[in-house]
Amino acid sequence: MTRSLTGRWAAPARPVWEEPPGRAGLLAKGLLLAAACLAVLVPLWIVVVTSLSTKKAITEAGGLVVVPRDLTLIAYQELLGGGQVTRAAVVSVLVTLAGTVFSMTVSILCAYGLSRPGSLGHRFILLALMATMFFGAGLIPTYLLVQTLGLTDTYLALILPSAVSVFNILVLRGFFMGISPELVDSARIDGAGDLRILWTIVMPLSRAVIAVITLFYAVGYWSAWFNASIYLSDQNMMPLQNVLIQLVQKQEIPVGLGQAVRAGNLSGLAVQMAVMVLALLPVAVLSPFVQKHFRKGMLTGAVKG
Amino acid sequence: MTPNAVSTGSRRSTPSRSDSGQSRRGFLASTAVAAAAVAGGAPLLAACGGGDTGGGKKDGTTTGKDAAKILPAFAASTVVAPDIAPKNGSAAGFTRAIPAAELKASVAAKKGKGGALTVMAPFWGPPPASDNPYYKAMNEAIGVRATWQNQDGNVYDQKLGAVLASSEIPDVVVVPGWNLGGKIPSAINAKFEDLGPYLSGDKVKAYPNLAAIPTDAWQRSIFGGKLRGLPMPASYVTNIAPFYRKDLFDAKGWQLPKSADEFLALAKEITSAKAKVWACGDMTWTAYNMFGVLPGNDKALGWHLLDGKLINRIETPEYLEALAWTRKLYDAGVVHPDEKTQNQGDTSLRFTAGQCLVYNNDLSHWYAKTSEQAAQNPAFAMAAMDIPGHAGGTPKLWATNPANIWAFVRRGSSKAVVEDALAIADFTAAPYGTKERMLTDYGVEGVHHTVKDGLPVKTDKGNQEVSSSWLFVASPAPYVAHPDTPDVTRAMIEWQQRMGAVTSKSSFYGMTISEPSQWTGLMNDFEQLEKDIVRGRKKVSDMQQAVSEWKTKGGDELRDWYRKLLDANGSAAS
Repeated sequence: MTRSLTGRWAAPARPVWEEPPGRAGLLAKGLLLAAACLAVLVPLWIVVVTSLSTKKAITEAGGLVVVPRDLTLIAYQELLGGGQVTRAAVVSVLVTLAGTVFSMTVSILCAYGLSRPGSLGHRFILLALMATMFFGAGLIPTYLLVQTLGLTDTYLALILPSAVSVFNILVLRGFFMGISPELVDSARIDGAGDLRILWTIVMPLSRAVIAVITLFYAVGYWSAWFNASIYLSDQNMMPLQNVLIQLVQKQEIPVGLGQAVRAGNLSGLAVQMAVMVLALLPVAVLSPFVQKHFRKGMLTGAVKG
Repeated sequence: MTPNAVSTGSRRSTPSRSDSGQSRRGFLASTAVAAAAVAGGAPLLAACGGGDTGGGKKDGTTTGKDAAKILPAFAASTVVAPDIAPKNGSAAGFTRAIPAAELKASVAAKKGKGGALTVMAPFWGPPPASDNPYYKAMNEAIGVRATWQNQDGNVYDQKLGAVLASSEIPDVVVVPGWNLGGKIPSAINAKFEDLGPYLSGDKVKAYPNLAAIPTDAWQRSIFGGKLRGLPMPASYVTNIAPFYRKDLFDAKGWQLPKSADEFLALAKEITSAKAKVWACGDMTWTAYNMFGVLPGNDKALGWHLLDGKLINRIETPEYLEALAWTRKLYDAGVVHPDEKTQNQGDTSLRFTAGQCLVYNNDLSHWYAKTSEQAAQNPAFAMAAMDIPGHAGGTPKLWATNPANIWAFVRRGSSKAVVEDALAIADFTAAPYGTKERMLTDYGVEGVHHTVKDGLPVKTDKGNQEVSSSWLFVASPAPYVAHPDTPDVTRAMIEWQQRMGAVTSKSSFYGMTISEPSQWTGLMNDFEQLEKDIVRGRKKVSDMQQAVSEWKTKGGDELRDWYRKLLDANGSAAS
């Protein structure tokens, strides 16, 4: 019936994008989404295929390989043989776990304290924290501090210098401040102290943002390599990312190459790509599990401050 | 490891590419190069730019009129005669393997006093354990107890800055030339020992292998008016070679170009996008050499006194012409399309794949690619073309640094520590054909290498443990030794000799100069601008504008500063 209405009774015209899509529209959307997916998947495909290619295939392709041929696991064998990658992976997992727990503990406690309007000196502390976002000491003073504290060549040097991100504290604080004060007040009337309120009320209500910040910290620790380069000398203590960089560099050196590299099937490019796959794998596997928290956590933290 | 010997000259020279990006990558690429004889360059020594306070001066050059008192005497090594003698600044060439039984001893007795010392050096790749059998064998042979602190070469400059600022400096510290930025030069002057009392004049003769290091390299090792560095000598001849696919050129009957125009014409003939064949990769470095542009990999080398006026490379018409010509190559579509995007893959892979038939890189690629392809593609053949003069005839090439990595001994070290460090240096500077060289390069026979068809071949353990770090403490006069490919070895040396014959030294050749800090960032944007211009993203006139701004922002003042140095010290220009 709507179609027959004309003149002043006609429904106001809607913009075209609010109309149900026609076939052409659906096709265009489909193509666009497919192109977006391909833009992500094709590079990933090339990385994986190149990592599985022989030196001959890579030479013939003149670099990155798109069409799989002569597949081999030799690059992965080179990386995972010898045990150093396995040992480094254990170091990375432990540093990531310990570091993330430590960082989250400090960040949550700090953010909770700063989110309570009456806490002692919270404005000053907040300003002091924020100042560190804009003014850094630089590498040399930080190195001297770490050295003076006796942390060089210890795992603590991988955690403490970058344990707390002020940005993350601010996001957490914003979320905590959004929790209804009545809930906190009623708990306090029931005799709950701050720690209990934090543990039983604030944290369960902040699961989304805590998941996101945990992911931030965990990915940060997992990907970090600079601190280890600067503060560690013992090769046995090196985390995974540093060892992977070293293994890539080993393939770049023309003199000193392993026999397989010069005469055999192993290509330096394949090793580089295999390193990318190995480095991506844990994050790619974990991300879907925290994805559901991600949007809510980010949006909530972003709009409340 | 490949079944052949090495060339120590290799790792010590950065490619003399004429852009300003002197880098680790280039350094790693240089596996075979050379360097050469001191060429008797007139000593340019003269303290200038501030008095040495014992801790070192802030800036200026490291040379001085008292150089004769500082420099070690030169006594060429006569232990093993090379198959191809060095000439025109080339490396020495060794085309045959020397059986273990015929290896000579260049160090008469253990020189080390058995002391413990720590050595910090950059390392690329997984460093071996500090107590591995190779290090033990080296320590045992030298008579020291050196403990290595191998640091990530990628962030070595940052680590170096932090360590030098701290109170815990290792006994011996390796410093590559590309890490001499910021405050590092002044820290070197302040934190490291003057080795003059141990090495100057005839004193060096107590260390015969150090005495055989070319004087040019020692001259570059004077920091803050004192002989502080133990050098890795390098050839002053450009080591950026334009390589071509000789197998394909011969098959098609293509003649090598003799001028810039001929190069472009040939490139158009070669290129067939349909067949996925392009003539070349990015040829900017070669263009600089063809057009005679002053070196860009060292700030001081880029200055030259011309007709009474000191000019910088970026002010010369040759510089703009080289950029414009390279841009023509891109415009003509003869450059592989991936080169348009910087850092897009590895040009040498496209070269071996036959997708681009000419590329330029370090001379060591000649051996590395030839031996790599021997198993995969027996028909593969490559060679380096002589760099043509842009208008035909011979080019005018410029000399690069004769040393670019040094080891320093911590200031305040005891005499015993200094002597132990010198004992290491004397051992690692042993020439090809000696037991010391074989142990340094290949480790222990039966453990780190085996001998196959008369050639040493590294075992897996050898590949893991035998480390180039020892070479950083000091190395012999450059040589190329690839006995498995004697033809390539000979061709490399002969190429260097031909190019060396047309090489001149710019005004500050051989000097290590620390610019005042206010001007150290003046040239930072030029490398990117060069890349943008040749790729068509910016115009050549943008460079003229940038040069004009450079002058007003401090370039002219810097010129005056360099001029004062030159007036005080004289020039090595030839």
